[in-house]
Amino acid sequence: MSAAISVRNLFRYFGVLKAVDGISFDIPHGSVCGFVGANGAGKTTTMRMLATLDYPTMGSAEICGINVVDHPDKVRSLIGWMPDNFGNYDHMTVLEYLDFYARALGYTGDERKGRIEEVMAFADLMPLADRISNKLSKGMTQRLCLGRALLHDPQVLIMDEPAAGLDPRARVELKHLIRILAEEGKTIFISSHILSELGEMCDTLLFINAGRIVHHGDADSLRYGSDATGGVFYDVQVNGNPESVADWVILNPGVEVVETRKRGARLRLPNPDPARAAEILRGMVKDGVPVIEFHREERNLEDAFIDILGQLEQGGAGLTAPPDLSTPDAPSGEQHSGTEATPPTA
Amino acid sequence: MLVKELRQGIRTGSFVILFLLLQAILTFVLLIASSIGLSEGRLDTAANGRFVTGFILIIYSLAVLLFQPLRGISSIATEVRENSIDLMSLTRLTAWRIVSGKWLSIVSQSALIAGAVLPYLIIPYFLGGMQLFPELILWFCLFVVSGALTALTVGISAIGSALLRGLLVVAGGALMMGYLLFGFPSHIPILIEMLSFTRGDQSLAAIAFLVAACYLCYFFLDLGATAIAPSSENRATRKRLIGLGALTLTYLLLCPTGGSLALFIALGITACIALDLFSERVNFSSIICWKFLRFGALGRIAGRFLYPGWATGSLFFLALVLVLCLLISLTHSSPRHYTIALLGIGTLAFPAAIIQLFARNSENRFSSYSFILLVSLILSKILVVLYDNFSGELLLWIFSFIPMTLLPLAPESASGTEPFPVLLAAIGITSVYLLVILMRSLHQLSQLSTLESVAQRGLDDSLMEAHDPDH
Repeated sequence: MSAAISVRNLFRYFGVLKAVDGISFDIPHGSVCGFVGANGAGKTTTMRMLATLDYPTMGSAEICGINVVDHPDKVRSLIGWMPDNFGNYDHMTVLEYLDFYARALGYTGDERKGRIEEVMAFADLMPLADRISNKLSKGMTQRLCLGRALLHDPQVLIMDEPAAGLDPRARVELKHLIRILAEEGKTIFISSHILSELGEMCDTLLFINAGRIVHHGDADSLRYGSDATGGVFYDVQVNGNPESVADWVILNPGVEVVETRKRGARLRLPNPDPARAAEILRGMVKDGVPVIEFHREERNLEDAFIDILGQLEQGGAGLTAPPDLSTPDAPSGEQHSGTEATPPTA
Repeated sequence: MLVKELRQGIRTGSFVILFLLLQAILTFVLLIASSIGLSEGRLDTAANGRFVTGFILIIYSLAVLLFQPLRGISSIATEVRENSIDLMSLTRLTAWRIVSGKWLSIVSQSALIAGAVLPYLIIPYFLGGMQLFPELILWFCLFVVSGALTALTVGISAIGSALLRGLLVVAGGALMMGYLLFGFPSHIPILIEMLSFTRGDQSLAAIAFLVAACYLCYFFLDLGATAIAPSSENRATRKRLIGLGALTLTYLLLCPTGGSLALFIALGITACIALDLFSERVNFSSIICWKFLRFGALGRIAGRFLYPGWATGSLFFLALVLVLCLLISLTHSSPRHYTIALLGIGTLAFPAAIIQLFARNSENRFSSYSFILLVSLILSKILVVLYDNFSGELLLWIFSFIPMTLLPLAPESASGTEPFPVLLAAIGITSVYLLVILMRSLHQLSQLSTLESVAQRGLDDSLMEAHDPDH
């Protein structure tokens, strides 16, 4: 089965400007992928090409196995597109707006009414039905846009900066709606500047810089900071002598002390398997090490992004090869479970 | 699309104000005309009737030829600026339906205005001097012209740069207003006489007028549709063939009225076709080749003329020149007609040659072409005026790189006693421009074979899938 979104060596030049410079990635069905990059990095251009609104200079892009350039009509029936900003119409209410798009999508009669009611209920637009569509707040407008994008029940949602300019409450509401859509099994490709939010919502993150993919992996691998060889770091705190951790490690190979700290130590485990972490914690407790805290080290995604860019500037050491996501079951399962293996306290 | 546009359009202040203002002015005219009608015997009522008819037609023309078409100039540009065109493109609405819906909405509103004006045209009946049939035909013709002008503004709103649109509003609007206020009143009696159809060729000219107007509507709307359509949609082939058909038909219909009119209208249509041919984006999806490849070698040859893009457009333009020369040879085979035709073709090829030489990769070839052509035409007009006043033939020859400047010399060269220097110059200059255009298109034309190979593979795969779905 092909990936929901598959991009191969995609280029888009605007004159001499290389907006997208040979990117390749796959996004499996039913996953939520965050697309991260600075302004002008090529996010919107990539998304517009996937949404059949722009055409690549070279390369191919497929949605559910259908080429976006050769068969835009087929692709358009599969995708829902939410642009970063758009204008609504004068003299048109929210209901009329949705009605127009439902007609344009080919719905007729009761089916049209049903679809409109469904998306209005989902996006909480019922109280706004008679409001003029271009007199709504930013949050309401985004809900309306989401409702419009869902009218034809698309398999893939492409959302370009949906949370930009929203107040915290509207942001939470939007996040909630996206979460529900993800639970329904829709593939969501979302770009945002707010990395912490993406981290919460997304299964994988795709970092783009100057038109090139610089990282493709799950959010947890960034947040919990695995190193170049895949090792992960744990912070262990004890009630008593901090040397007791180092002493225990000497007797138990397969784990190393990276740094001795005031109340414990920083450990490095060679692989991110949570079962191994649990085994180590169990061993420490069993051997009488007075552990009061044992957790995987976490950094925020902004720092991780900056680190990657920094490493890139130093010669590409931070480049993480895009994982082979050609099989839908493979995406990030093994690392994803890491979150569950980080009990805050022992 | 039409429902949405009408819903919005009729609610806008500009239409409501225009409609009410028109009603107020025409009611006022009705009252004045009635009072004149009641005082019959003291004045020349037939002359008054003609004056009232003229006045109503001018007011009507201002509404449908100036204000209504200008409303189209931002119709698609606004949607593009606000990103809402993307949202519409993603529905089942095709680019053509989006553009034509916009046009039809404005034309429907113009029809409301036309319908509202119609009863007032009956006023002159009470005053005398009424020519009902020709006046109604003129009323209808103005409505048709309004449709074509609206198509022009709606089409340009999708493709042109803001500068071009601004120029169209300011310069086009000013010219139209000037003509309607100062030129049109004196033309009304001539137009009414023409539309009396007292001569057989006038009917043919009217049909040619309708064909040309319909073609212009189609052309400009399709121009707009092409700008917002995905690159896998082939809009070029049909547009070129329809353009060729319209050119041939109008030329043949207008031939009985005299070759020059037919030729100038044909050159006007050629200008539209050239505007599109030389400004199409050169890249297109290989899937477009499929339909052509099904016809084997013949399809491949046809593709060289009919695939989208300015490269194949150059070859099609050459074919167009040959067709025009063939038409002239079949009808009015005089050197004068060949000279006019070649001067026109050369003038249309001039901006394309400039672009091919200096801005081949320009993203906005349409604006560049329109701008150079407009400047060339204005310059040649100025030179012709100078020539008329000072008889400076040398000046025309200096600027002969814009072939249209040699037009005043064309009749002289057709006298039969001279060795046709203008005809020779027209042939020489036009050939150079065509050669430049073709030479600079060769690289793109040579790449068509690669694209066709890719398309052939895709076609074979799709045929294989159709025969064996499990493949």
